[in-house]
Amino acid sequence: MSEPLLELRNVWKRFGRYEVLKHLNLSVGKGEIVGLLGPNGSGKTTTLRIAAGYSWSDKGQVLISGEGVFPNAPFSRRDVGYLPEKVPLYDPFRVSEYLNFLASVRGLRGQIAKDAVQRVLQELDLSAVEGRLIGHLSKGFRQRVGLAQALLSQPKILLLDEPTNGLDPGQLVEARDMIRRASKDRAVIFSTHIMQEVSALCTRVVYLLDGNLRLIPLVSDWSIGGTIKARVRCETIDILLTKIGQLSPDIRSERIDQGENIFDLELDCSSDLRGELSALLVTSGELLSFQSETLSLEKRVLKLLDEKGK
Amino acid sequence: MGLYQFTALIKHELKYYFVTPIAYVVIAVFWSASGFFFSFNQLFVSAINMVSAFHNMSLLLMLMIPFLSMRTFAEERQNNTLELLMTLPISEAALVWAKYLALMTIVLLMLLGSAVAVAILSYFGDPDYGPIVGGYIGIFLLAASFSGIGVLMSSISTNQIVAAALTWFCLLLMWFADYGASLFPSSWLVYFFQYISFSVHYLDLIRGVLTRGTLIYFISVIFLTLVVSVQILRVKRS
Repeated sequence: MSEPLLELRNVWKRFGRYEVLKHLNLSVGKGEIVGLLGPNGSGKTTTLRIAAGYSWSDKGQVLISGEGVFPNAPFSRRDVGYLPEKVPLYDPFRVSEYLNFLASVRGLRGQIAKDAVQRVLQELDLSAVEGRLIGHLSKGFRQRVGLAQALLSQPKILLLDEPTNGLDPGQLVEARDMIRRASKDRAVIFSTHIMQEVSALCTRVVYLLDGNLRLIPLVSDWSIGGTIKARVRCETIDILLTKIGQLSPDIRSERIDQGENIFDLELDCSSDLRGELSALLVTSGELLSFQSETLSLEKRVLKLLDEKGK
Repeated sequence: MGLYQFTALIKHELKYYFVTPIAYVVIAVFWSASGFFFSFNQLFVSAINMVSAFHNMSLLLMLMIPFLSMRTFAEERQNNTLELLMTLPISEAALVWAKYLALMTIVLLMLLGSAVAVAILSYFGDPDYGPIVGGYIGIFLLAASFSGIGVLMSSISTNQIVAAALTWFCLLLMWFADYGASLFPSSWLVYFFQYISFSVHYLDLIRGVLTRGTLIYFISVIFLTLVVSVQILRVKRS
C-alpha cells in the first residue's frame, strides 16, 4: 500500500454504556477503494463521521496525510469529501446554486469556483439538470448531486456512506462507475450492506463487528466456493469417500437406504473442482441426483467471519 | 475561515428565506399588521408619536420571529444538511453567526418597511424624531434578542414546530418574568426577575430611552444565546 492518506489509529467511540468502536485501526492509501461492511448498528456511519471530522472519537486519532483531524479545527477537514447516508440537499435550490454555494464555503473563488462546478457537473453527467430544482430530481440524480458536492474541492479522501442505497439497477451501474472514476488518485472508503457493490468496486474489504475491523480476503476470491449435494447408489462408499476426501476434506455423508446402499453426500468445494467431483461420482457408482449451490457473497462473508472467530 | 466563506454562508441563508414562502409571508403579515395598528392609532387616538406603534410591533415581533428562526438549525438537522455543513471547513461559531446575521437582515427589512409610518407622521405633523430613532434602535435590540433565543431553541430541536413552540414559550417566560418578583417579596430574586424581564426593559425602549443597563441587558441576551448555540452544536457533534 502507498503512503496512507487516511489513518484511523486506535479509535474508540462510546454512546452511553455501549462501545461502538474499540481499538479501531484503518489505513487507506491513494487509489484504494475500501469497502466497509457490517451489520446495522455496527458503527459504519460512526466510523465515517469520525473520519470526516463530524463526530468526536473518545480516544484515538484520525490523520489525513499525517496531520490530525479534529472536529474543532475546521481547516483540517479541507481535504475530505463526505457524502452522508441521507444525501444532504437543499430542495428549493437549483443544482448549480447548490454547488456554487458549497464551492464558496469550501473557499473556492471566482473562476476557480466556476471551473470546479463545471468539472463536477461534467464528470457526473449533471450538465443537463444544472438549472433544475433539486427537489424535482430523481433519486439517481440526487445521489449524483450529493457525490458532486463531495468532489467539488478535489479532496484527497472521499467518504461515502451507503452511496448506492435505494438506487435501481441502472442507477447502480452508473453510481459504481462514478465511484470508480472518483477513486482515481484518492483514498475512498464506502460503507454498504450490498455485497455485490463491494465485489464490483473495492480493492480491500473490511468488516466491522463488535467495534473492531476484520479484514476480509480480496473480493476476487469471493465468488469461489459452494456446496454440492448429491445422492448416489454406491457399493463401495468408503473408497468413494476417501477419493472425495482427497479433493475436499469437508464432506458429510448419510446412508438413507440400508438395503439399496443409497447415500446423500454434502460437501463444500471450490468451483474449479466441481467438474472433477461430478466425474468421480458418476464413475464410482450410480449418480441419482446432483445439485450444486454457489455460496452467496453474504454467506461467504459470514462463513469467513465464523472461521476467523474460531 | 475567511470572510469570503462567511459571506457565502450569509448569502445562502438569505437566499433560502426567499426561495421559500416563509420570509414573504412573515414580512407581509408584519407590514400589514403594523400598518393597520399604526393607522388605527392615528385615526382614533390622533397620537403623533410612535409609542403605541412600537408597542404593537414588539408584540408582533414576538409572534413572527419564531416563524423565521425555527428553521435555522432544526430544518438543517431534519434535512441532514447540518451534517454536511459541519463537515465543511467552517467553524460552528461562523455557522451560528452567519445564520443569525441573515435572520437579522430579514428583521431589519421588516422594521425598515414599517418606517413608512414615520414618513406619514412627518407629512401630517411635526413629530419628535429623537424618541422615534431611539425607539427603532430599541425595537431592533428587542428583535435581536428574540432572534437569539429563536436560534438557540432551533439549535436544540430536530423539529421546526418544536423549535418555534419552545421559542414562544421562552419569549413569554422572559416577557412576564417580572411577575415572578411578586412571589418573592423583599428578596434579591425580585431584582433578578425584574432584570431578566423583557417587559421591564422594553417600556423604556418604546419611549426611545436607551440606558446603559438596558443596552448591556440586550447585548448580553444576544451573546449568551449565540454562545450557547455554538456550544450546543459542538456537544451534538458527539
